[in-house]
Parts: sequence; C-alpha cells; structure tokens
Amino acid sequence: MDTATEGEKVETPLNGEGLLSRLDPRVKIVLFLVLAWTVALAGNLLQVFAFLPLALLFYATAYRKTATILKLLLFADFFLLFVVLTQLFLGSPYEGVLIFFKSTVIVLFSLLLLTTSSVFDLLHALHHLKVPNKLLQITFFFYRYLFTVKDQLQLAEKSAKSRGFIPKTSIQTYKTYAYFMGNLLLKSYFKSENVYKALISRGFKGYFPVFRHFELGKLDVIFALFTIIYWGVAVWRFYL
Amino acid sequence: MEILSVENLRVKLENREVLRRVNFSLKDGEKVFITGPNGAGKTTFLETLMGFVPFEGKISFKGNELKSEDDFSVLRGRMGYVFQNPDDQLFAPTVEEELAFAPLVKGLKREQVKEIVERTLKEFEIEHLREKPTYKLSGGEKRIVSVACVVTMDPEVILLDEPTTGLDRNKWEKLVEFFERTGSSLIIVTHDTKLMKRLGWKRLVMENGELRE
Amino acid sequence: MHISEGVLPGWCLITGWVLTSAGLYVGLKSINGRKIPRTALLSAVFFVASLIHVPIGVTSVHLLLNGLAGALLGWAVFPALFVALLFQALLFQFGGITVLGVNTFNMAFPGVVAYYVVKPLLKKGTTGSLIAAGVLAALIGVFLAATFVSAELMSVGSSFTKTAELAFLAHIPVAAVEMVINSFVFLYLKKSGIPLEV
Ligand SMILES: Nc1ncnc2c1ncn2[C@@H]1O[C@H](COP(=O)(O)OP(=O)(O)OP(=O)(O)O)[C@@H](O)[C@H]1O
Ligand SMILES: [Mg+2]
Repeated sequence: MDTATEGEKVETPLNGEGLLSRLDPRVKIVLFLVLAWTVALAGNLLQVFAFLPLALLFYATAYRKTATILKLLLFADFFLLFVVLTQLFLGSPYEGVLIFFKSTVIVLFSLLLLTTSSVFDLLHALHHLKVPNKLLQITFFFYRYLFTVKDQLQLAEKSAKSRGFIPKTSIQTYKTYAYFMGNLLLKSYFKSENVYKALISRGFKGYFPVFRHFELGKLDVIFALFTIIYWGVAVWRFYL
Repeated sequence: MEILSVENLRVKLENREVLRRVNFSLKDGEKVFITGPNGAGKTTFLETLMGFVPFEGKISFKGNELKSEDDFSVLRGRMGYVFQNPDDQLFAPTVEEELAFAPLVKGLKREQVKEIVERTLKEFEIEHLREKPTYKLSGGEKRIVSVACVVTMDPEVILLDEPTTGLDRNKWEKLVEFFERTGSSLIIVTHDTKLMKRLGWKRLVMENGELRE
Repeated sequence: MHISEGVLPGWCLITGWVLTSAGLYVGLKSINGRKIPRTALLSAVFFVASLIHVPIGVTSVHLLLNGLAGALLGWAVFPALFVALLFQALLFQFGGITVLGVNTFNMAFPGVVAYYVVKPLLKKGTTGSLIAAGVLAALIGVFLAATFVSAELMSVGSSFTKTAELAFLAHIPVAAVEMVINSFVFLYLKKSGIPLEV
C-alpha cells in the first residue's frame, strides 16, 4: 500500500505555468542556452544587471508561482549559500554579490524557460536538437522508473522502521542504509532485465517513435525575435 | 488489560475517506481476524496503527496515546507488521540476515541474535533457506520468511496482512501452529475461511471503511 | 557537492563540458542493448540514494556514491551521473546547466578511476577484498571529487582560498560514512549473487 506522500508525480516545478509554457520547448532551450551562457561569462555586476529586467519580465509571466520560485531561488541551493557567505565574510564581498546575482538570473532563466515545459516535452525537444539518441533513451528510462525506485526505497524504509529501526550514528544504521541500496540495485537490475525483454519483444530497435511533433507558431517567432534583440542590445551595450 | 485501543479513527487518502470512525480495541494476548472485501481499508487500517498514514482520532498503546512520529517509532520495536506483499518487506541480502535485522537493531549481543535466528529458522522449518538470497525464494517461501523476520523481533502485538496467501499445506500448518502457540496478540487480516474456521477467533468485518463485528 | 550556476569562470565551465563530452562519448559507446535500461535504472538508484539524509553526529550528510557507481558501471558512470545531475538541475535547481559539464566530470571521472582500482578486488571477492574495495571506492570517489571542486573554486581567484578549503573539509565526513556503506553494499551484492560489475 502507498502512504499519503507516495504516488505524487515529480514534474518540472513550473510545468504548464504561464505564457512561456505555451512556447515551443526547442525555442526555449536554445534561448536559454544563449542567455545562461552570456550571464555565466559576465565579469562584472553591470553585465549581470543588464539581463535582470529580462529575467524579471519572464518571472512576471508566472507570478502566481512566486512562492515556488522564491523557495527554489533561495533555499534549494546550499552550495550557493555557502559560497556567497564565505565570500562575504572570508573572501571578497564583491565576488559574493556578483555570484549571487549571476546565479539568481541564470536560475530564473532556467526556471521560466526550461521548467515551464514538462520533462517529456523537454526530452522530445532535445531529440530534435540532435542530442544523441542513446543518451535520451537513458534519460527516458531514468525518468520513467525514478518514481518506482523512490517508492521501493520508501517501502524498505517502512519495513525497517516497522522492525524498530531508528536511524542514528552507528554501524548498524550505515549497514541498514547499505542494505537499502543493495536492495534497490538488485531490484533495479532485475527490473531493467524485464524492461529490456518487454522492449525487444515489441520490436524495439533502439529509438522511440515520436507521435507528436512540435510546430513553430507565430508566438514562438515573436518571442524568439524579442529575446534575441534584447540579448543583442545588452551584449552590445555592456559586454563589448 | 487493553494493549491497543482506537477511537473514532478517520483516514483520508487523496480526499477520499478510506477509514471512517473506526473503533477497536485489543486485549493483551487477544487474537482477532479482520476480513472484508478488496479495497475496504484493511491494509490502510494496519498501516495507520503502525503510524505510516496521517489520521484523525485516537490511537493508544497500553493506555498511552500515540501522536507524533517519535511516539510511533518507539512503539514499532514492540509491534510487528507483516506486509501484504513480502517483496516490499524483504530487503536484506539473505534469509539469515533478514531474520537477524530486528534483534540487531534492538542492540542484542551477537550470540543472542544467532540463537534467536536459529530458533526461528527451526520453528518455521526453513533452515535450508538460511543463506539463500531473499529474491531467489519462491512466493510461499518469501511469505513465511516475511513472518519469521517479524517474529525474531519478539513483538507484543503482530499485525499480519494476508499471511497465508500462497502457502502449501505444510507451511500453512506450520504458520497456524505458530498462531495458536504464540503469546503475542495478533491482528490477522485475511480472506482465508479455512484459517478462520480452524482457529475460531473473533471475526471483525471491514467494509467501506467501517469496522464491525 | 554540486557547484552552482554563476560561480566558476567561463574557461572552467567550457573545459568541464569538453571533458564530460569525451567521457560521455566513451561511456555511451560501451552501452548497448540491455545495458541501456540497466544504466538508466542504476542511475535512478544513485539519484534516489543520494537524497537520503545519513545521520553523522549532530548533523546528517548526503552521499556522493560516485565511487560505488563507478565501480559498478565503469565508463557508463558518465552518462549515468550526467542524467542524474541533469534531473537535479531541472527538478530542484541543484547545480545547473552551464555547470553540468564540470559537475558531471567532478563526479564521474573519480568513478572511472575507482572502477580500475577496485576491479581486481571485486574479482577476488573475499570478504576482506570487498571491504577494501568499498573503502577505496569511497576514498577515491569522494576525495578526488573534493579535490576537483576545491581546485575549480581556487581558479576563480585568490579570494576563494577559504571557500575552497572549507569545501574540501566538508567532504571528510561523507568519505567516512561512504567507506562503511560501500563495503556493505559490495558484501550485499556478493551474498545475493548479483554480478558485481553490471
Ligand atoms: N496511497 C493511496 N492513495 C489513495 N488511495 C489509496 C492509497 N492506498 C490505498 N488507497 C485506497 O484506499 C482503499 C483501501 O485500500 P486498502 O489497501 O486498505 O484495501 P484492503 O482492504 O487492504 O484491500 P485488499 O483486500 O485488496 O488488500 C482502496 O480504495 C484504495 O484504492
Ligand atoms: Mg490489503
């Protein structure tokens, strides 16, 4: 049986949210890469701030998800917090501030351009963008069975708990976690054998046929033009 | 003395009332059956008693109300639970290690653990499975091991979810003898009419999330 | 430890992508047929397992498990960890896309090293050699990854000395826990008769 927390499907955090979710994911991925790399290569705050208005504009399309976005921006990333704090107090405060804004702007682009599409749409788009098929197959199976594996772990935890297991700092606890992992590896190993058998018995030849196709619409073209012009102007004014 | 008591228990899963106002009590050493149609809420009831499902109402163990995860985690060392699906329950590499898990978690000494494991292997006549990986067991063997690995914990109460499904005559008999013999209180969820007839304990029926005699 | 977006200089990010692409190329070439779903599922296992909070003293740590992943997967550890890190970036915004190259390399390359070092020990298969394999896989996986992370942080500039030092130190408890866990995982797989190199 499932407990209340199980069975929930993990999706991209802003899937289907706002205007940007209606755009062609191929366009969004390409624009994201251009914008993210440009900001990642920024050497000073001015260059980062040049893209802040665009990031905020994108954010405005999903303002209803402000809480989710803030949570992901502020609390998701311990490493960022760690770098910013050590820079503020033990290194160069300017670097700390610069990194904070660089990261924030890039993550905003990632949230609004990538995670407004579903995982399947993103994978599909990557297929059109010529990402190697084998890598996409692995990604597909990974996502397809991620929840099965997660549920499997929760069941083992439940089983251990119902026999009195309480995690603490002890060899017994580490051994128990190792057993959970061994158990997951084992079950996944057999699962993958079955998946493979099911695939070849249905004539699988190494690629997935795609039924739906993306069509570039007017909205996509307008959005792409607008973003590229913004990008061009910002680079010309602040980077060159 | 009452070992377990439940008052006005309500459980909602995905906005559906799966258990509604369940009242139940179990005396020390008492053994009962719960039966009822598929989807009635029997498994959910056992899981709620173990503290795995959020609930409304009152659950007490020996007069102490259980509220937080901490309350339940202490209780779990004293109340065993045999899953409906043994595949989900067994996670150790071998049968022997599966049986040793609970006593090791309790912090018993190695020799004691060894003795308990040996005794239980003998009790259920599964000594030959000792070093077998659990995933290589047959369906019925898994079932009996999933009971045995809870028995080694020496719990005061054991909740069992359809423990006799898929057992051959011999294993069925072994298990029934254990049910008769054990000093632990038992709550057995089952559809096995032969089992209920043979043991003749109190039968409760779960239907549509309601429990009645 | 996954480096976030916006921290590293451009040349470092690009080098990361180049090295990871090479690793992916070798890794993908070694995967065919049944190994495709197998790599994917093991990748999911490592993703899920790295989310467990393992208690140590008053706090808890997440495990890297890259040494273990490398020992079991060989070069396929590159695509396996690449996919896992891609999803961490997409679903939780841990790490990120421009740093995905660097982060994959930091984790997967030590995995490959662990694979070659640990292979003869796993073949031998005695309890002692499996424990040695677990310890070595943890030490190589975690400390090599820590060394890469610290070196990359140092490359940002002189103000990063302390940041890099602390980042390295944070890996020590992880290595300690992983030594124990890896050893038990190898023993587990051996006892259940699963091929140790999958
Ligand atoms: N995680 C869950 N989320 C939502 N509904 C659930 C969940 N788990 C169980 N249910 C529902 O709760 C009801 C009771 O399920 P439960 O598993 O308790 O039934 P059961 O009496 O054990 O049935 P069976 O005899 O088939 O084992 C069912 O309608 C089931 O669909
Ligand atoms: Mg049931």
